[in-house]
Amino acid sequence: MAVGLAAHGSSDAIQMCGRTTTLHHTQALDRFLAGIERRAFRIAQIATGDTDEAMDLVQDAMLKLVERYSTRDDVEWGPLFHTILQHRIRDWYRRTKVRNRWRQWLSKGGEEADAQYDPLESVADTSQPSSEEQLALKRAAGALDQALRTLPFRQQQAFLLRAWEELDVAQTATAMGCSQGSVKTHYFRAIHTLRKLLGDHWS
Amino acid sequence: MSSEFQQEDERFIARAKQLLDQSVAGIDHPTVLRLQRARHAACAAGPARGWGILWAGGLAMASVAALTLMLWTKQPALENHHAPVLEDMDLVMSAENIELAEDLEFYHWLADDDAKG
Repeated sequence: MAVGLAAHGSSDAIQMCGRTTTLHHTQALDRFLAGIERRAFRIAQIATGDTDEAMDLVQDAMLKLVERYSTRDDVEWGPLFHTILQHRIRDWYRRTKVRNRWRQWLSKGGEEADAQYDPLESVADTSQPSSEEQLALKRAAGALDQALRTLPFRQQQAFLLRAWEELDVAQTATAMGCSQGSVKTHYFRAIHTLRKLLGDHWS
Repeated sequence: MSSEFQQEDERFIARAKQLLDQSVAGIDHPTVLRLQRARHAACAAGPARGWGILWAGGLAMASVAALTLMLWTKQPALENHHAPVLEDMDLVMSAENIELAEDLEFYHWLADDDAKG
């Protein structure tokens, strides 16, 4: 009886321990995602130029990470998350490209619509009353956003992953699905294109 | 930062990083809330039950295979059943067999007669 109770007690303890481990694991995952979600959102937003699309992409990447890779070692989560997000962004680009081709083919008024589109509408509103310094910062940030959006997709991603996310060359190559040599080339070109676009006075 | 870049590039990268960090701090409140909700939903969903799905899939496949095997092995038996039935019909419908049936009635009559003594 005593043995049975002891065995029962130890199985409860194992269950409790399992639950505690799961809880700790979920909390660790939540902390990791909380730390990365806003930067991920900005990366997706710069890539797509659309808040809702960016939100969907980040949400998908979060779900996928939790579903498939949450049991992996937590040091792997960062590169894995960015690999998933980059896949999602690439898929979005492909879908958008196909959709745009169909739209161009189907609508004859496409050229008129393009003529009516004002790119200044997508620039952040800097007319809010603020100090000169804040205004300058906003302008610089807006200019950087615009310059990043004009970069070819691979250069944009190489820059954001290497410079901002501070992934190493190997991790960036995995996330981008290309060779390490390509990452170095894209990163180098991105920096020099951005510097040229933004001018010396920017930095 | 790696040595492949010059000092100017490094300054540029540091500035870009600073601005990007500031842009994160400037994300509006509704968007931050949406991100939080997305995170909670992802964490609540938990890891996919990979083995459970595999087991369920395997079980379904095994059931289909067993059913297919059963029907396949039963099929020839059914066909064999049809052939004797048709053969029996030929036998039953032939004139000889009608005579045999009549003879059987005769043998029954004889048996009854013997029993009565």
